[in-house]
Order: sequence, then structure tokens, then C-alpha cells
Amino acid sequence: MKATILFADNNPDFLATRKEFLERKGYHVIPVLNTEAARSELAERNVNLAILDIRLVDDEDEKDVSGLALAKAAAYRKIPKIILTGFPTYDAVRDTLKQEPDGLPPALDFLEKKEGHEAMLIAVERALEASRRQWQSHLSFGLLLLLGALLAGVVAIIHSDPRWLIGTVILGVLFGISMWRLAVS
Amino acid sequence: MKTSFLLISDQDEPAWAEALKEALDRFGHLNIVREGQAEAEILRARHDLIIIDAAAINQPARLVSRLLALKPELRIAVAAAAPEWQETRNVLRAGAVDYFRRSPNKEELHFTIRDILVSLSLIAPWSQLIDADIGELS
Repeated sequence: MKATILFADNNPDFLATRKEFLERKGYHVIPVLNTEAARSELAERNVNLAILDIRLVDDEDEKDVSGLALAKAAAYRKIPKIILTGFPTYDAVRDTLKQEPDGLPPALDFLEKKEGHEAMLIAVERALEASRRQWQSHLSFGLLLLLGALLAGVVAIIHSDPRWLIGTVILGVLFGISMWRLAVS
Repeated sequence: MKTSFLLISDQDEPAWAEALKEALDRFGHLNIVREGQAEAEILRARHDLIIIDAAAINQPARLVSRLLALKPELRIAVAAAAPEWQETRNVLRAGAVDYFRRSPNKEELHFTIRDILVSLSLIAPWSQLIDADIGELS
């Protein structure tokens, strides 16, 4: 299945070139030119990865960190992201890749626009692979809980022991919570 | 249990080690080792935070990868006097939790260290508020 990538950049020419390149590599790309459009697409569509330019409002404004602010927004924390900029600085990299108190960085990677198409492709593949691995490990944990609940249920039936039934219910609830979290992410 | 910090530095007595010791003093104990001894020390004892002095280490990102391969649960921060964005990216991509500016100003260093400890849940966020209040009062 083709991964869907939201690409946000306020430069229409740059956006069109990168979109075309990623589509040639087999990705489905949603191009957006501003934060409002990005928020709307992120809310409505199932996006596998977001590539966000730091300065989405004004390229000349050093204080414009609208793309990074979007990456940090709680609503999109679980979506894997790559930050892209024409003006890389130490502070921007640190803000992007440093672990936040919840253990996640705002984005998985940081790229300078000058680094070109191939560097972007490598970063995209790496980010999608990391996200896939995380999803698989959550799924494995959920299935382990389900297996535990089923085993506890069998033991409860064989021994007619209500304590095992309580264990079944607890593991079942934990399984439900883990699957719900997986679905939300 | 007291929090344990490890500074990896190849300088005999790094100038800022004393300032770092002061900044960490109230939170735990700081040990200093050379790069060559780092792996043995990490296997020998538990450390809540490893700090690598980038000024004294060749390719800190490689050292971060090497140490994390040895013990994936380690939390490693790298300190540099004048951090560059590419090196910062390499270090954070390698899995370090932070790459911070090694400020010569003791107070600034103190605040930076405390922010890192709060973000890693090694100290409670309210310890920051208490200090802010003390700062305002004084």
C-alpha cells in the first residue's frame, strides 16, 4: 500500500518539484501551502508521514517557526514527521530532535533543503520504517495481552476459579486499551 | 537512591567539570572517565545520565552509537561549547537525548542541566519552580 505523505511548504515551485519526485518513488503526496491547510488535512486524512517546512508563513522572518509549532502540537504528536528548512541552525535542530518529556521528539528527522531529493528520500524511508517498527511492537504487545487473557480464561474455566476470571478481565481491558491506542495512532 | 551522572571527557580536568559538578551536586553524584574507560564503566555501574564532552571526544555521534549498542536503555547528552547544526543532528540521530551548549556561565549551565533532568523525569518539575521563586526573592 502506498504511504500517504503530507508535504507543507509555502514555496509552490519547491513543493511541486518535491511532490513530483516523491510520487515518482511511489508515495501519495498531499501538498499544502500553509498551516491552516496542513491542520485541516491532518485532521481529515490518514497521513503516514508529514514533511513540514519550518517557515510556513514568511521565509524572510527568522522568528517564523510555524512548521515546528505544528510538529509540536499535541494533536499531531503521534504522526511521524520530518522538518525541512532552508535556514538550518543549532537551535532549530535541537528543538526538532530533542526528546520531549513524553519521550518523543517533535520530529524524527531534520533536513536542509539544499541536501536535495535523495537525502529526502532516505529520510522518508527511514522515518516510515521507524514508524512501522513502532506500530509492530505495539501490536505484538497487544497480541501478547490477548493471549494472556485467553489463557487466564481457559484456566478460570478448568479450575472454576474466579481469581483467574478477574485476571482475564484485567488483561482483556488492557488489550482493549492497547488496541484503542494503536487505532488512534 | 541517589542519581548517578557520568562525564566522559578526555581532558584531565576539564575547566567546566567543576561548574557541572556544582550544577549536579544537589541532584546526585558525578563521576568523570576518559573515552577509553567509558564502556567498562558503563558495564560496571548504573548511571542515570551520561554526559559526553564533545570538545574532548573525536566524533561524539559514534561514541553515542557505540554506548547505546552496549546498553540501549542509557540516556546520553552531549555538551559542546559552540554546537554546529550538522553535528547536533548526527548526535541526536544517533540516539542522544540532548545536545546542549556548554555555557561558561555557571547559572546558565545550571538551568540547562536542570531542564534536561526534568525532561528525563530524573527530577520533579516543581524543583524548577522552587528555584525560580528563590531567584525572584533574591
